[in-house]
Amino acid sequence: MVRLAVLVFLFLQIIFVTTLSGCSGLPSASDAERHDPRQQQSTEETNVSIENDIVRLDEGEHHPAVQVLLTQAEEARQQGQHQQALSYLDRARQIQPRNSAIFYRQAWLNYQLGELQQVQQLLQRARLFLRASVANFEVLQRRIQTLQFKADAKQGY
Amino acid sequence: MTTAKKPTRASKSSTKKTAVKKVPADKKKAPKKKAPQAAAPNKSPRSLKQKLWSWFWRLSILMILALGTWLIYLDAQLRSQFDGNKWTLPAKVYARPLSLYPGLLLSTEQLKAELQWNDYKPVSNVVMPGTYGRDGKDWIIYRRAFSFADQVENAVKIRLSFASGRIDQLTIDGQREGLVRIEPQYIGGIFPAHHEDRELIALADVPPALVAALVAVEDRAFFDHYGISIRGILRAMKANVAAGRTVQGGSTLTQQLVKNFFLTNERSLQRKVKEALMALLLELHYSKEDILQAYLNEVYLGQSGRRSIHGIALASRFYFAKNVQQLNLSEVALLIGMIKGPSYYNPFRHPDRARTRRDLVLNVMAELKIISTTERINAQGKEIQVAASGRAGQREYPAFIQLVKRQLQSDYRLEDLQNTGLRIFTTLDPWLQHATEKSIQKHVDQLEKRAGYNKPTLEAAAVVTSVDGAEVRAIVGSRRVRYFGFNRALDAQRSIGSLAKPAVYLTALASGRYDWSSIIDDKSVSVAGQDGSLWQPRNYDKKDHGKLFMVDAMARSLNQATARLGMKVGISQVVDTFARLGIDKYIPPYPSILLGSLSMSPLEVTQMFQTYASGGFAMQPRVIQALTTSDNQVLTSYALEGRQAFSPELIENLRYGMQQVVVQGTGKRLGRTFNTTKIAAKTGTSDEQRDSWFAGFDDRHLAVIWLGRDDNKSTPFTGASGALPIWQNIFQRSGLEPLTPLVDLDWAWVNEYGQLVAKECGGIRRMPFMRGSLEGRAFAGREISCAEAKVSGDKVDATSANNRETSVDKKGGSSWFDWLF
Repeated sequence: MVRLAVLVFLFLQIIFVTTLSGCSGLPSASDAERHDPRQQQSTEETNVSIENDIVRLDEGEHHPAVQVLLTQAEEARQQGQHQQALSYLDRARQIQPRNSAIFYRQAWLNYQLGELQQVQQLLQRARLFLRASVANFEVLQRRIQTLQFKADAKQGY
Repeated sequence: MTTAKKPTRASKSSTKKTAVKKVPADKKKAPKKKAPQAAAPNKSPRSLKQKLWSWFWRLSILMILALGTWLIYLDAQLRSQFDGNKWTLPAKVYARPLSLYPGLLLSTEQLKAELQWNDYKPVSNVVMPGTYGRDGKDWIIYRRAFSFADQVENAVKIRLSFASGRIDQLTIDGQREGLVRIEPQYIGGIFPAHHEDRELIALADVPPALVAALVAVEDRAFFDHYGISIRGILRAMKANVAAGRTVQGGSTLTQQLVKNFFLTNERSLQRKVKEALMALLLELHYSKEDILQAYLNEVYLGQSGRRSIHGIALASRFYFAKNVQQLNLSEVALLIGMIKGPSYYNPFRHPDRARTRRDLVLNVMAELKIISTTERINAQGKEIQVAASGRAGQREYPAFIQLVKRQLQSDYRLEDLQNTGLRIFTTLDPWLQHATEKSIQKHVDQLEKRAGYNKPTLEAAAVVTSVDGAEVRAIVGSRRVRYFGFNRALDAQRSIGSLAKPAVYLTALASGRYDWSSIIDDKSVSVAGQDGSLWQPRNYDKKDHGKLFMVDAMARSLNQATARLGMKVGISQVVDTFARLGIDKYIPPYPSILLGSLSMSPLEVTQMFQTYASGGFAMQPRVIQALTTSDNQVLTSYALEGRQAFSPELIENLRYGMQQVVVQGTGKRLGRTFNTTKIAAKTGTSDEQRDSWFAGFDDRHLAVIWLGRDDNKSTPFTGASGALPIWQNIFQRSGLEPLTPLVDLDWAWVNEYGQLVAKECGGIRRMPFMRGSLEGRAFAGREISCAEAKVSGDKVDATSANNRETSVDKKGGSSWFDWLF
C-alpha cells in the first residue's frame, strides 16, 4: 500500500514537472542544446550494402542544418554539378568545422573528381576529428581507411 | 555663317580646317583681282556678288554635309554607348551570410544588429520582405529574395524561437526547417579610378511618386517634348532675367542625361549644341521609359570620400539605409530635391537647406496634384531623418576590402574587378568586425590617456580568423577604422618579439629531446656574432630565474632561457620551423631571431599562429568564399586547402605550453576575466617596447593584435598591458568558447628534478607527454619507489620565482661557448 502511494506520488510528480516545464516555456534547452553543432557529430549508417563506402552524400544521421546541405549536395552531385556539390559540403563544414563525416564526404567527392591532393589533406582532417565516442565510429573509420588506400594507390604510394 | 561655324568648331574634325582655310584663300584672291577690276569697273560688282553667293552656297553645302556626317557619328557613338552595358559596374563585395539553424549560439543583440546593418526595418506586423519583428518571444524575419553564390532563393518569412541563448526552432511558412540564410551584407565595391559607385534599378521597381516628383521638378514637359523644350528654355530665360542671375536651367531630363552620360562638365555654347542634338537623337531611338530609367541610374547624388554616389537606388541606401521601394514621401521629395545640388543640399551636413528644398519639392508635388494636401502637410511635418553615418549604406571595411582586392588580383585583372559587376562573396563576419573595431577604438584611446599622450600617437591593427578554416572574419588596419590609407594589418612590418617563442619551443618538442618537464637554465646568455659584436639578451625584468621547467620559461616568456634552448636545438632548425609554419620569407639564421628580432605583418603572424590553432595545418588566411559574374555564373569557389605541417599531437603538446601562458604566465589576466584558462596565447613585446603584440585563440577564433607607433618609437606598453586588453575585449564582445583538445596526450606527475613520479612521492606538477613516449620509462611512479627518487642532478630552483639578481657576464662572456656549460 505504501509502495503504491509512493508510486502514485512519483507518477503525479513526473506529470507535474513535465507539464510545468512544457507550459512555462522555461529554457528546456532540449532542442537547442541537443542541436549544438559543436557537440554533435554525424552517425554513419551501418545497414548498407557496401560497408566500406558511402553511396550517397546524405546518408547517415546528421545535424539538421548539415542534413539539409548534404541533401542539396547529393542532388547537385546526381545532376553532375560537382562544384555546386562541393560548395554545399563546404557550407556544412563551416557549420560543423570538426565533423569527421563531412571531411570524409568532401574527400570522397574530391576523389571522384581526381583531386587527389585535396583528398589527402581532407582525409587527414577526417582522421584528426574522428571521435571514438560517436556511435558507429568504426564504420566511418573503416571508410576513411578504404578511401585512403584507394587514394594512395592512385598516387602510387 | 555663325550657325554653320559652331558645329564645325565642336566637331574638331577636318571640316574645321577646310572651312578656315577657305576663308583666307578667298581674301587673298580678292586684292589680286582688284587690278582687272579697275580696268572693267562695270562688270566687277555683279561678278563679286555672284562669286560671294556661289562661295556661300558651296560652303553651306559643305557645312550641311559636315553636319550630317557629324550627326551620323554622334548617333553611332550614342547608340553604341547607350545599348547594352551603359555603365562600368564595380565589383560588389559581400560579407558572409548569417546562417540560422537549430542549436546556433546567437545573441539577440547580434541578430538585431546584423538585421539592421542589412537594412531590415523593425515593424510591428511583418508583411514585407526586408522587415522583422517580435511575436512574443519569437522573432519573425521576412528575408528578401537573394541570389546567393550557390543558388537563388526567394523571399521567405522565418520564425525563430530561442532557448538558453541558442536557436531552438526554426520554421519557414509554418514548416520546421534545418537551415536558412539571411542575405549577406553589402560591404563595399572595387571601383574604377573615377570611383563611381551605383546600384542599378529597373523603372518598374521605382515608386511612381518618385518618377512623378522627378518630372514635376526637373522637366514638366518631359512626356511632351522631343528631347529639347523651347518652352522650357523660354521659361528659364524669363525666370533668369527676372531674377537677374541664373536660377533655372532650361535643360530637359534628356539633355541632363546626355550631359552626364556622354559629355564633360564644360560650359560652352558648343557643348550645349552637341547636348541638344544628342538629346534629339536619344529621343529618336529610345522610349521615354528607357530614358527615365537611364536617368535614374545615372544621376549623381553625392560623395562619400572618394566614392561618388550615383543612381537613386544607391542614394536611397546611402542616405536612408532603405530600398527605393521603402522610401516615404518626405524621403522621395528630398532625394529629388537633391538632384539640383547634392553637396549643397546634403542632408548630413546641411539639414536645414535639405529641409527647405524638400518642402519646396513637396509644394510642387501638391500643386500638380501628385499628392494631396494632407500628404504634403504630413510629409512636411517630418524631420529630416538620415541613416546614421557609418551605418547601413555607409558601412565600409577598407582594410578588409584591400585584402579581398589583393587576393583576387593574383587571379583576375583589376579591370575586370572594376568594370564587369562581379559579385564577391567573402568570409567577413560583420559582428566580429564590429567587436574588433570597437575594442580597438576604445582601448587605444584609454591606453593613450594612461600614457599621457595629448594627441593621437598610438596605432593598432588586428586580424581575426576562424581556427579550423582560416577564414578571415575581421581586419582592422588602423585605429581610424574607416580609413582607406596605410593598412597596418597587411603592410606594417614590425618586430614580433616574443611571438617567435612558440616556434622555438615547437622545435624543441619536435626534436624528441625535450618535453615540458625538461629542466632548462635561465642563466644569462652571451653570443658573439660574426662581426664580433655580442648578443646578450636580457629578461624583461632584468633578472635571472635559474633552473626551471621548460613550460615555465615559455609561460613567463623568459628571454635568457629561450635563447639557450634555441641555441641548443639549433637556429637552423628553428628557421626551418618558421618555414613549415607557413612563413614565406627569408629568415636569417641569427641567434636574435629566437627572441623575435624579425619583422612580420599582423597577417603574417596570423598565418603562423593559424598553424597552431588549426592543429598543424598550414593555411593561408582566406577572405574569398566564391566569385560570380553579375548574372550569377560561379567563376571560382574557394575550398579549404592546406597541408599538414605538424602532427596534431605535437601541436596539442605545444598548445599546453601556450595555455600555461594564461594559467600562470603573461596572459594570466585572461583566466580571471573569462573564468577559464582554456585559451592558448602568447604575448609579444619588441625591444624598447616599440611593439606590443598579443596572439591567441579559443575554440573558434584566432585573433592577432598589434599596437605601436607609426614612427617606431618606444611606448610604455608590453604585450600584456597594450595588446592583450584589446584581445580580451574582442572576445568579451563576441563570446569565448574554451579550447577543446585536438588529441589526447599522456599525463604524468613529475618531481622537482623533472622525473616521473607518483603524486605522493614528491610529484609537484602534472604534465603532458607525447603519446607512447612514457612507455618503458618510469611512469607515474610505478617503477620508481618513493625512496628511490633521485636526489642529485638538475633541479628546478624553488627560489626561481623570487628573482635573484644576476651578474651580467661575470665570467666574461666573450666566448660564445661558455653558456653551454
